Amino acid sequence: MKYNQITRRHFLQGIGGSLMALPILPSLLSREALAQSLQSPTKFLVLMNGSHGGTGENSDWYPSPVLNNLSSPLLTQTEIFSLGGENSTNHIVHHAFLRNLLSSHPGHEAGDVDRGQQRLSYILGSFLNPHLDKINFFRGIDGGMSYYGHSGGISWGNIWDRDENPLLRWPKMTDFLANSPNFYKNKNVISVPSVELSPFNLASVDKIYAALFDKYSATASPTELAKKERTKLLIDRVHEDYNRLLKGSFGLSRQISSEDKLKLEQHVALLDDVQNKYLNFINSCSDVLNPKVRLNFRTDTTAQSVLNAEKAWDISTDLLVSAFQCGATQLATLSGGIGGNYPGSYHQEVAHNGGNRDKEVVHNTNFRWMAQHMLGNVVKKLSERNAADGQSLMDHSLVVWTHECGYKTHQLNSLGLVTVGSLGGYFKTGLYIDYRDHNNFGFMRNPEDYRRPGIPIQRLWANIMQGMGIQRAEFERGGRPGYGDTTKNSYTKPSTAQKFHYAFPKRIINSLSDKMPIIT
Amino acid sequence: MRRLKSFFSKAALCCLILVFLVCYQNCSQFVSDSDEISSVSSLSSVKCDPTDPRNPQKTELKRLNANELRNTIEDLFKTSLTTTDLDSLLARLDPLIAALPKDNGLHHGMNLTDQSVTVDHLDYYLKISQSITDFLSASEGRIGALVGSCYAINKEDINCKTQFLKKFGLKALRRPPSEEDITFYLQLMNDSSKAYVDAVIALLNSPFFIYHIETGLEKTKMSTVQGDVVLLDPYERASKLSYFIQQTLPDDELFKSAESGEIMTDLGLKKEIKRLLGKTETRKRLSQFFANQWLDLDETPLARTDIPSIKTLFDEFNTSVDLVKNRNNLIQEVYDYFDYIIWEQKGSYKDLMTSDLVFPRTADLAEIYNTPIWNGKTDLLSLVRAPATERAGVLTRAQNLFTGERSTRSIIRGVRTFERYLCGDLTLPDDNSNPEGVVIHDDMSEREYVIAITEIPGTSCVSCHSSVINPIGFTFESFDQFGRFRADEKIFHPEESAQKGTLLTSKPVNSKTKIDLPNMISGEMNSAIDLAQNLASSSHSNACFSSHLWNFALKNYATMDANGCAVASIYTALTQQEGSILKAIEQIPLEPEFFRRTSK
Repeated sequence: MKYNQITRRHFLQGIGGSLMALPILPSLLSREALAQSLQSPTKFLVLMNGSHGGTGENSDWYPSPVLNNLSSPLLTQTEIFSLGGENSTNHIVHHAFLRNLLSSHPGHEAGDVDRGQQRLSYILGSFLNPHLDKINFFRGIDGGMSYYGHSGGISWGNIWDRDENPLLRWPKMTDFLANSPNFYKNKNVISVPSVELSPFNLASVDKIYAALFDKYSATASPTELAKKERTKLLIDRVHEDYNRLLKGSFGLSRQISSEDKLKLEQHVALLDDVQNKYLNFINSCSDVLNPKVRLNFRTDTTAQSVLNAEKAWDISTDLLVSAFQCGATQLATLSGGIGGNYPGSYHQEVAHNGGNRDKEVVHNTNFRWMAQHMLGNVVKKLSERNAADGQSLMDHSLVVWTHECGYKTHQLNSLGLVTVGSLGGYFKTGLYIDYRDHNNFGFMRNPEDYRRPGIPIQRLWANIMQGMGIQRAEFERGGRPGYGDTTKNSYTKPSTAQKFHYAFPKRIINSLSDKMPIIT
Repeated sequence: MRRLKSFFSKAALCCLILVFLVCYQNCSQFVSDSDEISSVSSLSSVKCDPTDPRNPQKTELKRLNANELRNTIEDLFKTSLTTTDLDSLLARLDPLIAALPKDNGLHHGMNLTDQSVTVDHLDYYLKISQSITDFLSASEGRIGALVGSCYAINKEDINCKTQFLKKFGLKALRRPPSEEDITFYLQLMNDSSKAYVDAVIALLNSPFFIYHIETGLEKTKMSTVQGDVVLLDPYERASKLSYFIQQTLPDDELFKSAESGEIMTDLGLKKEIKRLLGKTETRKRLSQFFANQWLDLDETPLARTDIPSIKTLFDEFNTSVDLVKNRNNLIQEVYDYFDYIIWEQKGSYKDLMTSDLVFPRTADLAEIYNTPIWNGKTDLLSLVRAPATERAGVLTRAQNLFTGERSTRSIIRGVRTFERYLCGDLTLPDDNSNPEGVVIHDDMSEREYVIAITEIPGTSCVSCHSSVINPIGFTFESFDQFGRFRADEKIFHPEESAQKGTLLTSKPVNSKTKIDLPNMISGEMNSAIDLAQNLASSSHSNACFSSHLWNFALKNYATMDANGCAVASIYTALTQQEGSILKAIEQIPLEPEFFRRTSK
């Protein structure tokens, strides 16, 4: 894939932090106004899915120091179960601070824009470095020890949302929250209980704006909006003016020095902040400006469509964060990617070829794009805006990036999974945590690391629900702990006929609504 | 008698403690044996090496500082606005300009060396430009006057827009707009319902307006300088000269000189220097801003009348003193002093350092100086002289002496004098905590107290305080906290005592010291008068002043020996027979480094 030359946004994401100390923008929000529209404590949840396919255990995903897992001296060992029982061993997990795992992670030659820089990995590139202390990077989260096929629902809390069993659905966590009497205190204020940004739902920026903000248009001040639009236009023109100089297009047969250029690039980066300051000044949801662009998230084989998708995500994320800030919604799901950019059948030729390095490179380039333009963007923007209490929106949020890529396509065990945010202090953050039970191969026939049982994802979901303020009695069903279907999380030794099925120890199954080890 | 520790524990004296706890160290470099080379450049180190390639020091891309910004805006609009309108415009802009992030100098004041750019700068640049256009938009006549006669005839006409862009753009960008510029701004105007207003905003936020962009002559035209050094082109030259002398954009004649290329010649350059320095309406900007930067006048304090002893002293004034105005009066008197010495008297550094002239425009200052009020005129009969042997030059300006608090801050007076007038550099020790075992008395004089806490044998403070800071600072003890000459020091009861604000005792002041700073100044000093005269005749102090002028002109901080040839030339212009500060200023743009630049 191709990347733009440096833009003001890329500049801030990539190298701006190391070049200059960017001042933190003051709170842009009328706190009194926001306090009226938002209940306290307010929490925001963003669920993001990963593209179908196999990222696997390859080097693009995990930090180099822990790639070959257990031997790294950087890892701390902590015992999380000592009950004995089946296998009669204690469950030891390994963890480390993410900031200690940065390295000049090897990536691909092509399109690896921050190659050589300190970063977690190729996929989790340096653009996430400013947020390391807010990230948790999990390994050994198990969707189940069985074969699940296409489980798109793994990202939402509905593991059975897959092609084999379309009817066995649990509500998405966002839908569950949206319908819970204990989440939204005043549903009259919100416009959309849960926003779904995807190429298949709200596929374009104008649709997102309409869904989130049309409700408030009747109360919008035309004068104020016109003033904002005018300021935006003027700042855009000033930005263009600086770019003319940076490109040497002033009709002069000489150019400014690289040092001067650097300072002007810093100026351009700051212009972005000024523009955000004006555009994001929100007293109410009626203040949010319609970007009036017809961009969608879909990509095809043209480079321009990828660039348009980047821009669409950028603007849409602004809208989403504005919606959080003004109280239009508190829940969102994101899905997308640049799979459509592959000149062939992405599903068959790439996604179903986990383990084939050439195809993994294509797949991981897609993941890298999602990490930067979807996950990274939403985290950056949530961090830049303040909530009513003066903390950043990020401090009140949890962004969860889940996918179905275990060690290979369709295998949901030993997932690599990223969360960002503490959800108002519910989670400890800044950690790499490998939950795989290194003393236990369970009932596995092939004692490979990735098949060691870790922590079922239903426990993470249960923790998210509790972090969002939902009690376990509300989300547990049939007396089974955990959020979502756990019926296939068997602790019975599978029969030989159950080709791909493995089992969790009982002690793990019984603790699925308990607090997550290490991070709570 | 009490232990220092218990004395300091009194919260009421926090401000006093902060003033006193300034301890410096490692001054052996300044007072070492004569065969040891001082780390402060002596005059010999600023002599010109004939093989010096005369390359400038590296400078980063400079932005307009707040002073330049205000002056530039004033001059951009002064020809199209009435005097009343211009005053109104500046009155509405001043709060916005004042709200720009404060520049913090890297060294010895000189905050124009601060070139940081933050989001707040950009925010206020935008607000300032919008405020200007709001003001212009309030009256069609204002816009019309700015654009020209075509505005009333057909403001939509592309020729009218182009004409405006060429005329206003030349001044705002400080170079003729290129065809590409015109196309760019015309596009913006054509897209806007407020074409001229938006063009003004865009131009006032352009990189060529905000920054001193210096790309230099085309390489092919550069014959004498090599590598990363560029030679400024005619318009850049005009701007550099103008922002040094006038602190604003070039005037029409200077633009013409750039257009014709005359400014590239020695003759043309000298002609413009002479002309600009002769402009009474702008030359004060130079002397006043230099004084402001060199002496850090923005840091002039307000009187702390919340301290009982200061309230008592303040109440002694016969005139009613407005605290804010009093601060402004102190600063204005320095401006008047510099204006007179540099432009009227055409004086030297020695004159600046030793003159007994004072310029009290107001009763409070006249009372401080014990003189009549100055009538604002500069004829011999109107000039006001301080009582004999009480004042000498800039050191004894009321502004320089004013502390407005319980202490006369003799430590700060010593440090400031050493740094500003001798280009010395002092280091705070790592451990700046209270020395152990210090014994003080309530009835100690300022001098006794400072000696007690800073000159304890074996402490890290003693070397700097006993050899450099205190001997210099104590010479000022014949002036009180308000800058009034005094023979006795009034010592008040401690501020935490029941008798706070009342006199404890008086003691005769002792301002006699012995200073021994090889290559700088040496000898016995009876008071600040002697100190001023010693500095005035010190070649090191003259060279230090020359380097301040150079740094000010280049908006860059450099040690005395950097650009040694240029500083040596300025020194010669300053100290030669018939030499003067004005001649030193004239010399600055003639130095080859002035119109060269490297950012590498």
